[in-house]
Amino acid sequence: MSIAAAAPPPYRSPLLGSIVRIIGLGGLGLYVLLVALSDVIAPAPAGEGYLSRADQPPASVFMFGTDALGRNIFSETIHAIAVSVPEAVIAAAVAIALGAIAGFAAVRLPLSLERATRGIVGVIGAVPAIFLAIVLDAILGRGLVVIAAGLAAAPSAFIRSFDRAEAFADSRHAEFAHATGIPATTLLRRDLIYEIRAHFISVAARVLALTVALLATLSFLGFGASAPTRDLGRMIDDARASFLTDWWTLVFPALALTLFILFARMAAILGEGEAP
Amino acid sequence: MSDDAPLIAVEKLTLKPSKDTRASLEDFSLAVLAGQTVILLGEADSGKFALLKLLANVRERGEKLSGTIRFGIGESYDLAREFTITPRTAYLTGPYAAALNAHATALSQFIRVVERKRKVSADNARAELSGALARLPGAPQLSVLDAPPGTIAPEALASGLFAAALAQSPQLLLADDPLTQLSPSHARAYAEVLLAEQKKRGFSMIYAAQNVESAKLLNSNVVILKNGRIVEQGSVARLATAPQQAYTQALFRVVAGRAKEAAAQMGRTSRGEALVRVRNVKLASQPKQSRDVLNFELRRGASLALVGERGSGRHGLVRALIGLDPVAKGHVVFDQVDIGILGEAMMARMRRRVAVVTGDDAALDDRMTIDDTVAEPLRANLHAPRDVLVRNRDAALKRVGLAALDGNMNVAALSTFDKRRLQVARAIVSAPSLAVIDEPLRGLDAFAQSVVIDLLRSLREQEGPAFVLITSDFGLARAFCEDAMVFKDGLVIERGPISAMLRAPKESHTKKLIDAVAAAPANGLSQASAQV
Amino acid sequence: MWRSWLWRAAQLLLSLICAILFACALSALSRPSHNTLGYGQNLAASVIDIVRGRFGTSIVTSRLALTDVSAAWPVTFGLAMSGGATALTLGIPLGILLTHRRMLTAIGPFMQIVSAVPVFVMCLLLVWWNVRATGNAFAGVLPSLIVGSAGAAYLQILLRRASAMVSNAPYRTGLRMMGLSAIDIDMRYVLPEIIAAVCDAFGEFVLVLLSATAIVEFIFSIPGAASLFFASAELHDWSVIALVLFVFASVKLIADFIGWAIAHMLVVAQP
Repeated sequence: MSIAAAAPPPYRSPLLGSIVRIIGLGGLGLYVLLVALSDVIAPAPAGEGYLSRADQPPASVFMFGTDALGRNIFSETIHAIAVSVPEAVIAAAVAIALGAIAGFAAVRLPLSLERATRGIVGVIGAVPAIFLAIVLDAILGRGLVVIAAGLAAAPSAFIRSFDRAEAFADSRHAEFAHATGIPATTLLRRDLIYEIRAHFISVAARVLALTVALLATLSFLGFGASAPTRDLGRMIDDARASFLTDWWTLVFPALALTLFILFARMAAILGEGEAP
Repeated sequence: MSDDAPLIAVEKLTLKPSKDTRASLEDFSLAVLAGQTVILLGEADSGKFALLKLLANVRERGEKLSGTIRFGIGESYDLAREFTITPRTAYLTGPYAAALNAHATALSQFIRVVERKRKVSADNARAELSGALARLPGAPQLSVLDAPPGTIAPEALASGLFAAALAQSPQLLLADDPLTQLSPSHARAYAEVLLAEQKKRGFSMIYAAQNVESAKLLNSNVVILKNGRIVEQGSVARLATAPQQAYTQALFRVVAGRAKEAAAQMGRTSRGEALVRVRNVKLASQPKQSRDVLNFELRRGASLALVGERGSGRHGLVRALIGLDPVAKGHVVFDQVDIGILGEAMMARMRRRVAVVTGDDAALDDRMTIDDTVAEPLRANLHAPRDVLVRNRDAALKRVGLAALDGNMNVAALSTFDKRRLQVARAIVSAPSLAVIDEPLRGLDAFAQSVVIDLLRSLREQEGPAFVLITSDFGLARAFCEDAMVFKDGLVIERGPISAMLRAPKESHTKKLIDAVAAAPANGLSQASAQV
Repeated sequence: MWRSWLWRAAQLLLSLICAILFACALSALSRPSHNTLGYGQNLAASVIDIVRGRFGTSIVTSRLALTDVSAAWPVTFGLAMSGGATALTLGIPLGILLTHRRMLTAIGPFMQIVSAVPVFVMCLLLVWWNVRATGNAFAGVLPSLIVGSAGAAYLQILLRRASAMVSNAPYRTGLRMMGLSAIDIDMRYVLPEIIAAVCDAFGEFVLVLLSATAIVEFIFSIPGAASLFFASAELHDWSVIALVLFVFASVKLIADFIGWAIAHMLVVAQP
């Protein structure tokens, strides 16, 4: 297994690793709460703005300031979170099903089919995920950008799962089990159960970090959900026109996005600088 | 240096790896005379390696030392302060210790070591190494060692390691159980060469042994260590026949002695009809030009030892017996069914009646828990209801002495000894008709070996499977089996009752294997007693 | 040994052929088809065209797709290369620094936060800093610096992983017991293994650089292959899309092979 697919360097102690994961999961939980209560927490409906209070910096009245159209940045950020997070979760579910789980199961195919599958997915995974997502978005249509992002994130999840599962399938303990008549289905179930038990949170959080960044990047580049739906990427894209003077239009949605990714990385216990 | 003065004398040595851990060595005192061999015998964490490290001048950060060390008649040095090991030392380990980098050639690493230790050029180091290798009987050419260690035969690598140590012209050889995991015949030959070189060159040796067999081969004075403290010391003969401590007694329970006792107690197990019939089988491991075919039966409850060196074809036969590999010719009939006509799914069902206990710990899945490992055959093959599953699982764990451990503990957290016992528990619950036992004592210290032997004996007596034992040790074969097949180069060269083979082996290779587990070498013994 | 080289070369060739077929599949979308059979025919036609060296025509510029991509690719390549150089300059020292526990404790949390910032956000923040704090002093190097930072973050984690993999290798103790110094062991045996392990992930490193380059081209309106791709994707210019994707995939696949080759030579050629 290459070090690109190997486990990250361990944290300084299992306890610290657990604390990091708990903080990560806690943070993600907070975001889920924000999504559920977005209409209650946000002081204004999505998109509501008054030109009379345009471009106001953060102050007691508008905590995060207002943008060029007079929209409350705090309110817009909450609504954008309520769009970005569910989209990312759906995309992550697609990536896990077609990537992580499929990768695990693909190792059990006949050898030539297994090799061919790995090779084909490897070629697809050689394209930057953002390019793949854009192509899939163009093929599937704008309304399915979330599915496109999930499909684009699937190859890297597939490859990681496949490489791990291959190590297990070729292992001495699999041979030992085979020699004592343990059925292949039991071995597959054993691998899946232990992988899920040990790594599901890591895998899911890692994929979530990838899909939220991917969706935000797509929106930023103009390929995401269409107006008037604004996710965090679209908010940041809209801020490009004015962020040099009105820094708050960029900083707060960027912070919201970064914190979500940070919590997801912590839940996955990803190393510093490690790509999801 | 006076002949009476010890080469090295350590007084009241206490070594702690760091301030919060148990001492590796506690109040330890040892003196080694010139030309003397001292054997340190104990389990893995008994402190042997800690002493070797200290004498090899390998210090770790945070280590705390106390006590004194003296070289010859010189003054004593306080171990808590800086000191230099004055006598020339060389470290010798075995080919399975993975002490060399796997990617660089063994030869280059040996040359580098000699170059550094002798402070000579690379060319001179190579010449020294070549000279040392040439003096070892049966040693390979230097070119054989010019390959990554993993690709060199263990015996050749062992010679290379020994030559590298000798090329350093040591006054004190720090031997980290280089005989371990070698087959008995190779270990015996190696021990003879080691003792002969010691006699010729006059170096002292501190030999860290994990099991009694190595100590018996060297037949010198033994210091028994446990948890960093000396338990007892004396000659091999005295400790074997009249140990004063219970721990020493447990370590010195001789396999061969127990074999006689075990065989006498077992008697002949009643045999049923044939479980496995082999008819005109030619194995894939046999040389192509060979026309030999195998014909034999293994009856229910019977036992058969497959004895031979690594790569001799024993595993090939077992794999054919249980349908993992097809045979080149002939038929294998397992429980009245010709397995050659079975599909993979049916063959897998047949193999449910096979249990395997192996000396390879990688055979267990590190991710699984203790409970799951034992319960898996019950769940997957027998589809046992939960209460039956739990009852049988717990009974098996109790029988092997693992009931006190938390059943949710991962296999990864277990020691080698515990993993071996776990394999036996898994074998027990599967109620096998055939048990394949493959070098079950590999990597275990003396105490653990005696426990595992008892457990396997209990498995045979209570569950009554046919036993197929794969080993290179005739002593172990005699402990468990009535019949044996001796393998060499992919062929069966001799077969029959073990007792007859031991009395009058027909083949020289069989005799060599039998002699390897006989008494210690008669020449080149070091008889000086250890001083405290 | 030559077998492993042959096998890897064959794998590379098969992967490139697979990439060509994918490009054909995308390029076939540029031809009208009303059903699967029609698409199948278009696909066959695309394969024949590409075998003949014809990569289609851009519906936007009406030029050959190959011409457009050939003009844009050097810009992307140059940016990725300069970013790669920056990544090596920043990432290697950072990786070495962070193998020490105290440094990891001090800098680790900061690195975690920085790694969580998406590339496009980092771009905008650095643009803001460059304009507002430095008076546009770094305008020329900013694109390369951003690509390099993304690469450096990945490179340092590779170094740390490789270092962790070899840190507990039994041969380190074994060779020390035999009399080699720790530095000797690290320089002769450990370092080549670490470098080999990092080289083995060279393809992934290149992918990180290319992904960052794409974002930087968009933000700074640099007329590279990525900008061409984004424009073509908007307008469904499939010939250009297919060719750009093929080029990116090929670069990554070739980088995988080069990385494997260097890693293989390093560990095999150890004296």
